[in-house]
Amino acid sequence: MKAAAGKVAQLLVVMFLVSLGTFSLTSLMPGDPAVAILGDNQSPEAYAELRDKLGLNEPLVERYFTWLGHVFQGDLGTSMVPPNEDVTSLIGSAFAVSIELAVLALVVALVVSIPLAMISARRPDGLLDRAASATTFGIMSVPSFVSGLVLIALLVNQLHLFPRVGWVGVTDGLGQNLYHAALPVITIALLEIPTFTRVLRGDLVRTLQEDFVLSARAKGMPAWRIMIFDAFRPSSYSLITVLGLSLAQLIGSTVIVETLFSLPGMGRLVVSSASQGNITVIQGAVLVIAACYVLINAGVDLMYSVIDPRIRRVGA
Amino acid sequence: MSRPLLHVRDLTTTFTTSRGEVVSVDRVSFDLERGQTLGIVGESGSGKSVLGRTVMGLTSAAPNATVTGSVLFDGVDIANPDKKTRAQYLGARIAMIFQDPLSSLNPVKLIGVHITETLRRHDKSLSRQEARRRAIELLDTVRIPDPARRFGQYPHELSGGMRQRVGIAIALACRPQLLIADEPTTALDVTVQKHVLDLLGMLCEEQGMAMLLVSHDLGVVAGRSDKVAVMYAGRIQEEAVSSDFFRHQRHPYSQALLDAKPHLENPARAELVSIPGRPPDPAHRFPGCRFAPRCRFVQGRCREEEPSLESGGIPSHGAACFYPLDAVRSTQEVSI
Repeated sequence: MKAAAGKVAQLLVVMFLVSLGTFSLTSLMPGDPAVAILGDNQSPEAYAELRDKLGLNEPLVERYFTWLGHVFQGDLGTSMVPPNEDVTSLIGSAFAVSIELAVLALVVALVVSIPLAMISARRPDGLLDRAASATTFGIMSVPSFVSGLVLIALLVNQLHLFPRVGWVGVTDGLGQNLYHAALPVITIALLEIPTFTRVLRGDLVRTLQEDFVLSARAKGMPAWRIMIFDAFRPSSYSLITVLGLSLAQLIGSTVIVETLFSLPGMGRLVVSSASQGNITVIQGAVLVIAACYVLINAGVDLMYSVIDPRIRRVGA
Repeated sequence: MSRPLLHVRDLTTTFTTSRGEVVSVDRVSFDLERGQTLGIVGESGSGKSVLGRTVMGLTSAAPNATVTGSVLFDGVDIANPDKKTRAQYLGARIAMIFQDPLSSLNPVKLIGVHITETLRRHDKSLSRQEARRRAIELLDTVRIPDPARRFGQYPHELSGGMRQRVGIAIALACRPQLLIADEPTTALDVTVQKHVLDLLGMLCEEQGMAMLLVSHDLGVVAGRSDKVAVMYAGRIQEEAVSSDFFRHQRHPYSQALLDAKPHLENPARAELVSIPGRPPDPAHRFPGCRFAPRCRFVQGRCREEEPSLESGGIPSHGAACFYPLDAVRSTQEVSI
């Protein structure tokens, strides 16, 4: 319990620092929000009036705490660009798209990588291992805008399996949602598969040299059983680390794939807001992404102790 | 004459490494009767552990290992077991205890699961509850206090001696006929060593189990085995009934090995006896007796011909030596 409380306190401190950083960073950004909103050809009075209205003339510290107070009430302010939407709902809908893409892509990547890594680790430097290694390195060197385009050319234009672009939310039917998500999910998964496979394969090969694997074999356990029930769990630490980092990263930075498939995700939201100088949206988005990093890292730490009983006591 | 439980003939294990062919076990032959214990003694690198693993059928799975010769277990050759034989014999009729009880237990698996998975693997009809009950019973058999609580603990929560007892419990799970104990007490404190060895001996007797006791320590083998085989550079150099062997050693290597044992009654700082030279590099074989370069009694023939266990002349006390120690004196006398 004490350990959990300490963890939560630690998370709160990190979040506070992140919010402070985000807020001051966007305040330091070049460009005047008033100009961004009203355009170039307005009178100085109009700019000044708007600046005053937006609270930009108040001291930075005061503005920060006002903003923070609103954040605690779930209010991230309103967009500075017409139609001046509510930032919370704007980010909410983009976040839903991004998190679904990221989670689905990671699931697909895991489903492919885990068996692939196991097959490779079974006989290191064997034929299958070399083939898998060559394939994963090949995939790794293809950027997503190329693999995405190839997938579109192949699966959409030739085979007509998937829709070309667009997004349908889960609320409009799970089937349609998954149908539209499939291609971008595969494109993102392709980015992750090589890393996952390489990382897990390496750890599996090392674990398989452990004495307890030999003793499992001495018990008459078949090779596949040893791989799944003896070797996999102690070999999954690096995979979980990479998985956590990937998840956090994918939430904010799949701009290329989002653009390619015209998806309303976080990446595109952040990029367009940045180019419009839409400070409130950027602040909110960065805060949400940072919160994801912090939470996911806490989740990864938690996973370690779930996997390894030896960490449970030590970490307390 | 009934056939022995384990009948090993010309067993050879070769590893293909970057340094060339390494013959770890070289034409080893021995018999082990039911319920008997054979102590296999040798320095590190003598091939004794590989021998244990090869008998267990564990080396043949390594991609760079070749196993030739035969290991007849109750009449069935298990030197190069197929999947079915392996599943049938390993863990069920032949079991193994490993040297390091910490690394041979899976750190993320409960103590109890180590045992129940073996039980359920070899008896598919066993229910979860029944397996659990049997596992706790086994933990009790190996004298682990509070077995029901230990069942739900992880390996790192147990002491070294307790872990090795768990190792024994796992090995005993399916009541094997043959137990291969590979340095079972090397990683343990001396006091714990004695407890574990006594326990092993008692269990072997109770369950009529045969045991291959592999150790670098003659003290471990003494008094706990019916027969002793001394290995050097992959070959058995001397093999005899324990009482005979410890009364007098016929192979110069065996005697040197016993002389190297430190004695408590020696004065403090007395220099320890060691065998001069080093064991030969297994990747570079040379003609003649393998011990010849380090032997005090080496003669011309020793460097040309390789002696076999029969060379010693006494079948019940085999020594791979042309001039076994009971004969050395007379040859020396002749040469004077």
